[in-house]
Amino acid sequence: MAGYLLRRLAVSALMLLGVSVLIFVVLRLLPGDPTVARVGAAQNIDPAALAALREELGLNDPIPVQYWAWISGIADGELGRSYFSQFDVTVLIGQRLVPTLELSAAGLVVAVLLAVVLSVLPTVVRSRWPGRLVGAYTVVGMAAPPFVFGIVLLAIFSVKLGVLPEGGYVPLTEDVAGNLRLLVLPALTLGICLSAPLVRHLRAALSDVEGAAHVRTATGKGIGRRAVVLRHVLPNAMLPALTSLGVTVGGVLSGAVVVEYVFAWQGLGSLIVDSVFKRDYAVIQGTVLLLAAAFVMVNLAVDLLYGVLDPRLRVGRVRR
Amino acid sequence: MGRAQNWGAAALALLLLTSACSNAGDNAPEQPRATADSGKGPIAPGGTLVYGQIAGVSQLDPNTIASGAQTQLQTLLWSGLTTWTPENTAKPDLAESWQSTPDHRTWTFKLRPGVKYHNGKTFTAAEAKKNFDRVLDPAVPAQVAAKIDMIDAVTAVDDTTLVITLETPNPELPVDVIDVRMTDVDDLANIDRSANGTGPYKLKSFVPDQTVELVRHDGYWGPRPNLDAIRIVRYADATAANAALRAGQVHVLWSVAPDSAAGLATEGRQLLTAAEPAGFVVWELDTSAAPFNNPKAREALSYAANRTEMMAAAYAGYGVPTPTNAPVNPKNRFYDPTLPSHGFDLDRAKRLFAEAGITEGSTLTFWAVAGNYQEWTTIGQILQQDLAKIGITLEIQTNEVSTWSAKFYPKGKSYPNLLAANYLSFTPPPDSYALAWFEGAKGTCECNWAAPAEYNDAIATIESAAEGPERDAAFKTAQRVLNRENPVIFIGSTAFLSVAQPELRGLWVQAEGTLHLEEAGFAA
Repeated sequence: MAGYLLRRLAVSALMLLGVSVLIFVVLRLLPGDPTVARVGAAQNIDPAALAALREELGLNDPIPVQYWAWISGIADGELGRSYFSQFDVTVLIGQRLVPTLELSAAGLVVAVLLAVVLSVLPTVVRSRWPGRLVGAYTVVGMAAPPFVFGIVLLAIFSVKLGVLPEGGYVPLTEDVAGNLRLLVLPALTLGICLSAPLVRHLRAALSDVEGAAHVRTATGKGIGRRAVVLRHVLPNAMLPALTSLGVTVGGVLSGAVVVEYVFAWQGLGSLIVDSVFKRDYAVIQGTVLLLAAAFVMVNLAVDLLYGVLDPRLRVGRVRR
Repeated sequence: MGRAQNWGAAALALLLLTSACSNAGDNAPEQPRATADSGKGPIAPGGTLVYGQIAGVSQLDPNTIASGAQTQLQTLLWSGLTTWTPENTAKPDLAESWQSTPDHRTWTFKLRPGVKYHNGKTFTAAEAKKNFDRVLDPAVPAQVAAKIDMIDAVTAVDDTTLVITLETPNPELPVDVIDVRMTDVDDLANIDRSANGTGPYKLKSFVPDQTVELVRHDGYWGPRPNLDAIRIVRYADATAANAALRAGQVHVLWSVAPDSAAGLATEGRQLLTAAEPAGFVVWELDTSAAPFNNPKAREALSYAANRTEMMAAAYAGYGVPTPTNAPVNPKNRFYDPTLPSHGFDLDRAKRLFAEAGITEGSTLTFWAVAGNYQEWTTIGQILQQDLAKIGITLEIQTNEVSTWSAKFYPKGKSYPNLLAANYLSFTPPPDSYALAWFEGAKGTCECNWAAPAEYNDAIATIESAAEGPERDAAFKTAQRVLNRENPVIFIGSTAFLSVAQPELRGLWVQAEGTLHLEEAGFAA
């Protein structure tokens, strides 16, 4: 197990290194100049001032030199500094991390609840229509981008009905009720989007388990349909769905990015989007690397969990 | 996939339906005005004003300000030696008085005693000097430097006396120094945490591009501000911002899209814009590269611009066409209405284009911004349709903002065949800046225009002569040259529109659309 863990950790580290190179190079291939964005496309900046700013930000150095400066800084716990505000990237991430984690957690809870309900419902209710509706839900949920759901929910609940605020963020520590009211629509939006693939996987798993011998036995004993599904089918279908849940958890942060922007939720999402528009390289690099690390770590955790749950999957030990 | 598309269409239809319904029952729109004086009654002390905008505030250094989204903070957090009046003149701020020598080359400012920064440090003439020196440092990207580049030396004679000597005379120096804002230069490393100004409000918290929270500065040297606090909130898009205004969650919304302004300024809400708009919708051209290195090509383009239709369609009637093709608003007293009008004349444009080698089948590119400034694209579409009538293709390319600006900015870039849509804000004449922007040696116009000596001489006169016939004539000369040479195509004059709730009083709009909130408050 230790060897397996070490190998997986090494692979994860290599993946993150690759991601860091990719982000760094791609950003510098983008058209646009951070120094121009920094001073604004104003009509009265001396080009010499822009040149001085480029020098100050180290943008005149060759890309490998810039990369080394960044990556060696990370080794020292430094993610660099925003080209715009004088905040360190770690400070900016710190300002936005809690809202993102809150939204991600809420979105994930909504997604899991929706997934379980929508998967179990067609299995319990033996009718065509629930299955078809849930099928349509998964297609729409997977096909439509999150901002579409966000805008539709916003138009209905905020603009038309006026029952929920249209966006913004208040820290939980400042105003619990206000925070929760603001959280409802973004969490619902994120939850809908995340639930669609979960529903699809869980339904497939439920279908597989439904044909198993122990389920037929339970049914043969005369146990009610609902009880069979909840006690015998669902628990056994959860393990195959774990992979899907792992991917969902890993991707929840990136899903939150778009949702945050629509609802002006002060999280990492809006930080990334704004930074891309401004070509604030240091902030983009730091934030994307953090999201990539979260994705890799969650997937690693899921793999390890699999290893714990099913010894056959501990590839390294089997090979030895 | 087909099913998904159906769902998408249904969602969009629902969205459009709800948007349409939300406008139903609105009353007649307000006419824009420059001052929020609903009821013209007294202002009650206290309250928190929520100020909404779609653009975020990225940083808090007042002298390297990067966007219009930050301008409302300029008078709230920081003070200058002088400050604006609604008539576009200077009035005392940190300087109680000033005087110049008869040749306008030496200016003495008497500063208020006992003023302190928000961090408690005393503001003195030496502090003012530090700020001027920083702004004038070529390595500091301070936009205001262009306005005061005639300064030779700044001297702190004593704590309350500041002497500024100039290389060339400048009778407008008190106006030109307005935007040099005083902050604790020795503590710049903390400016985004403390702001460190001497203004009526001080910083409570700042989340870049999201929120700026200000609270009343009880140690302010001037009249006690009316409000307890001001909260500046950035919204993701116009839909969210407009909804917040309608729901009463925002008291003032800045930079409202012209096509939605009338719909928002109902139910007593006040529509605000500058009395003399000094923002200009322009197409920047590279006059050093083909085809616009040929003056006839530029002139043709000016005649091909249906300014009246463009301003009506894109700015919903809240803009003024500028057919003399100069950065002077028709309401300004220096505007020269006797200049040849570049009225829409497609036949003339076609002839001039042909003389410049732009014949049928030629293609030009219109360079605009994606996501924002739909007005520019609307204008481009009108031009596209008109040029098509004379056989010229106009390709409209929209780009995200960094890509857009990198193409032609700063001065010196080559961008042949391109019309770069842009929006320029200037201080209205008698300030020289709008016209000096084109000046050959010092001007920073991205048009790369080699201004003729006649133009440069006129600017030198405007900048150095006191009010009088000589200066008036120079203003006319400069406008005449621009009218003839067309280094930039000016479509119209306008200013950012804002909407304020009925209970707001005491705020006013500066020439380019900046809202002044320093004396704002709620109706008593």
